[in-house]
Formats: sequence, C-alpha cells, structure tokens
Amino acid sequence: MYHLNEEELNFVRKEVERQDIHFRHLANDLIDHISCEIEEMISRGRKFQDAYKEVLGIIGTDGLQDLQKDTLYLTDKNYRIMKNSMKISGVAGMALLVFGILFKMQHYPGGDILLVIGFLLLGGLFFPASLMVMRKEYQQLDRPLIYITLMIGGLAIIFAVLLKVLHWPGANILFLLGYSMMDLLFLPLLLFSLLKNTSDSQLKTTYVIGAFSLFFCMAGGLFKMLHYPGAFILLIVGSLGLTAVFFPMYVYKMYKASDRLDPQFIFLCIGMLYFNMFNLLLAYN
Amino acid sequence: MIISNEFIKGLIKPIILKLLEDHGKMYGYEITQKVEELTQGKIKLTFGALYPILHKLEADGIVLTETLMVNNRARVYYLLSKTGKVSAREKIAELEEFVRTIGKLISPEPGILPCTT
Repeated sequence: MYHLNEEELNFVRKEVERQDIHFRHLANDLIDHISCEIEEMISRGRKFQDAYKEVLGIIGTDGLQDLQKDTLYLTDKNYRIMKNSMKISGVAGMALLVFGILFKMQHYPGGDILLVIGFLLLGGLFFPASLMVMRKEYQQLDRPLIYITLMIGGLAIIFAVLLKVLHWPGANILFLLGYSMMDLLFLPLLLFSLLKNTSDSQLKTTYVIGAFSLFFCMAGGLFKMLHYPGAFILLIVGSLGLTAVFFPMYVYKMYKASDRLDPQFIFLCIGMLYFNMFNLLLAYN
Repeated sequence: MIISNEFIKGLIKPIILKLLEDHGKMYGYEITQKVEELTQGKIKLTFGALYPILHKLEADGIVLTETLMVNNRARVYYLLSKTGKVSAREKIAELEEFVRTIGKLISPEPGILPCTT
C-alpha cells in the first residue's frame, strides 16, 4: 500500500485549510480520509495529481465547508436556532419591506407599519443571527470586536435608513454613528485580521486596496446623506477602486489559489454590480 | 444495484454503532470501506454523510475519540463509550425490528385473503 509523502500531504492539508475547516477534529478526519482515498487510487496505478483531482472533484468546490455546516447544524443547538431564525426573518423581513415600499408608493394605508416591522425583523433578528452564523462558520476572522463593530455599525445604518424613509428625526445622527463605526473601527480591524492571516504579499496588497476603496465608498455615502461637499469624488474613487482594481486582483488570486472559480463567484459579481449601481446613483443624485 | 441515499439516510447511525460494536475502534475511512465490503458495494457511505453523524454521536457522548499519528498524519479513531454500548444495542435492536417489519410489508406471508364482496 502506497503512503503519501510530506509534500503530497501538504497538498491535502492546504485544501482543507482553504475551506476553513476548524470544527473540533474535523480537519484531522478529513485530511486522513482524503489521504486514504488518494493512497488507494495510487496503489491501483494512478498518479498523485490525477487521484488528487478526482477526489477534489468528488468533494466539490465547497464540499468540505458544506460538510462542516451540516456537522455544526447537527451538533450545535445555538447554531441551529440562529440559522433557522436567519432564514425565517430574512424572508419575512424582505417580503415586508417589498410590500411596505409598494404600499408607500401607491399611498395605501399601512405602508409605514410594514416598513417598520420589516426593518425591525431585518435589523433586530436577521442581521445579528447572520453575524453569529458567520462567526461559527468562518473562524479565520477570529476577533469578536470585528463582529461587534459590524453589528453596531450595520444596525445604526439599517435604522437610519428607516428613519430617513419615514422622515422621522435622528436619521443623520444614526448615519454618522453607523458609517463612522464601519469606517474607523470595523474596516481597520477587518484589514488587520486579514493581513495577519495571510503571508502572500499580492493578496495583502489586494486587501489594502479593497479596504481603502470601501472606506471611500462609505465616507462618500455619509457625506452624501449629510450633504457635505466631496461626496461625488469619494463615491467615484471608491467604486472605481473596488471594480477596476480590487475585484480583478481578488478573483485572479482566488483562481490561482485553487485552479478553479468558486461557484460563489457569480454572487460576488451580482453583489458588486448592485453595490456599484447604488454608489453611482448616490453619486449622481 | 447501489441502494439510494434516500433509504440509507436514517440508518447511518445504527450502521456505525453496529460496526463499532463489532470491531472496537475504527476511523472514518475504515468505516466507509467496511460498509462497502460487507454490502458488496451496494451501500456507499460518503464522508459528507458520515462525519456529521460521527460528530453528533461524539457530542451526545455515545462515542469517544482517540487520536494517533499514522503515516505522518493524525488519525482519529472512534469507539463506543460505556453509555454508547447500551445505546448501540438499543439502536441495533430497533434496526432489526425495522428490517423485519419492512420485510413483512414488502413480501407478506402467504395466507387466506378476506373476502371483499
């Protein structure tokens, strides 16, 4: 029976590491299991690279990550509750928002109530539950402060939008609090955490460009809401930085790292498109 | 003919417990190979189905783990705990009863059918 050498084992370890497998001893289980499968194929006459590719093909691009989510779902009661709350409140909150906007546009009664309940569901349940689920699934971002600042900043912006839509007082203060929290605390913390977790200098440059572009976008958004001068240029610089520099560099690095494009690439493209459309509309409004 | 995952889904737990009861400690890959060997390839346990259940059994205290270094990598062995042994016997008895019941349902014993007219 063939046994993998250290170099070949590192290929397997790298793949398990890439998918951020951290739950108990699951990484050890999977490294050993994948290695056994490859050893079996090599013993039957296959070459390492062919066997490795075949096993990865069976696993699928995010197969190990999905397996970890299934394991968490089965074993962790809090994760199960959070995941279900996230799904239910996400769908209900979005549906209420859509109907609220429709009622508001058609001047039907009850639009304000629908918007308030929709925002409360999204801000009070969906957003915190999503952050908790994310924290369980991805432990590369290990600093709790990252999630706390994102939670406070995100909630402040969500409720600021609600107050703005309903023409209630306090929206500008919440915008100021939310955007400042995101720009001055969340983004630097996120950037430091990402830089700490990678040794690749090109990826570090990509993260720095992405963080600065996001900084400009959010500062532009805040300036626009508060009618300060310079919002247009901040939004344009931020959007260009994200789309023309950060995005191609990031996609290239991800492709180089795993020799394939993640299926989530399509969601990244759609997210980027919407984010830029929103920024450009805001800039030219 | 390979048995579809739809049928196997609820049976993975008793299958694992039965194997651990018979063979003592086993590691994940060994379990999948043993199942394939004993069923002549009709049941294939993917690791996507196996590890969530193994970790659930561990979280419930039914199995214990033991990590050893084998061929330069950590290998996690699973074995039944004291309570696990009792639970395994119950689950296996339940599985046997289930198989008997399904057998009766699929191929009922010949007998006199009641008159319907």
